[in-house]
Amino acid sequence: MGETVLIRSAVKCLSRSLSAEREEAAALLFELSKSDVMCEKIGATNGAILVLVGMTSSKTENIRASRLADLALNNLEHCDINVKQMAESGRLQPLLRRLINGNC
Amino acid sequence: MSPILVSGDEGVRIEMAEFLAEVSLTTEGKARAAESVTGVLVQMLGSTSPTERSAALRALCSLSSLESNGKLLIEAGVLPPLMRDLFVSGSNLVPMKLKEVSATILANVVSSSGNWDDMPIDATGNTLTSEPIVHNFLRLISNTGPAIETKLLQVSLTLCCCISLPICFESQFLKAVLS
Repeated sequence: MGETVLIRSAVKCLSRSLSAEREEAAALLFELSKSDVMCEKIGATNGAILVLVGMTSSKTENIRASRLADLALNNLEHCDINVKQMAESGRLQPLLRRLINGNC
Repeated sequence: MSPILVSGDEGVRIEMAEFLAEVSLTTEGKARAAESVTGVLVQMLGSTSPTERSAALRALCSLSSLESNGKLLIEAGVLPPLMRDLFVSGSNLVPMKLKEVSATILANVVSSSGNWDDMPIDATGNTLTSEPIVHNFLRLISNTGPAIETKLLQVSLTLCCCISLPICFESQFLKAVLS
């Protein structure tokens, strides 16, 4: 339960106007994403993947925040359902890679 | 069989192909996806598993809706398996719904600028405009339902516009259109 609230707050912070806040939130999500259980929980949080993908493709995002978002997404890929969400948000590569290799 | 398909889990591949077929893609996404997975999807069409073939066919159908992808699909060899699915008789072998998907892909790729007119589509070296193939098209048009018929008419029209068919084909074609 506590984890869900934490993830939800972190996701909210990803959209804050202060870039230091966005960076910290991305760093937190990256740390959490190292656990497979957390990967599923992050993916299941509304908007999490969409906003993270947005950060990696945004031209105005600070480089560290966008790098952390990218690293978090790399970990989130381990979960099939997240791969689908990423494709829906415009990050197609993980889906294509799985299709080519037939595995994660 | 290609080494790519020997490794990896079919289940994952099918799931991803099914998802690729459903997800709405931007023009850029379609172009990028076609560049990297057309080859794998075309190989999946040769699978013995109907689920795998169906997933690949639907994904290719989505990718073929971008005109510039037509060339890629043709070069990857999409035509022979498509024609096989379309012309195989007995609806229990290839469900009508899938024939419709095949016909849609065919209509999409022939309307693109690909070099389909001299591309062999079977072992005997026929092309899309060879006599027996055109006959098969005409037969299919009159033997199938409206959905697939519309697509095949599009194909035939494109064929007619691109080549000059002998008079007898034209009249048969007109008869098929009018009936």
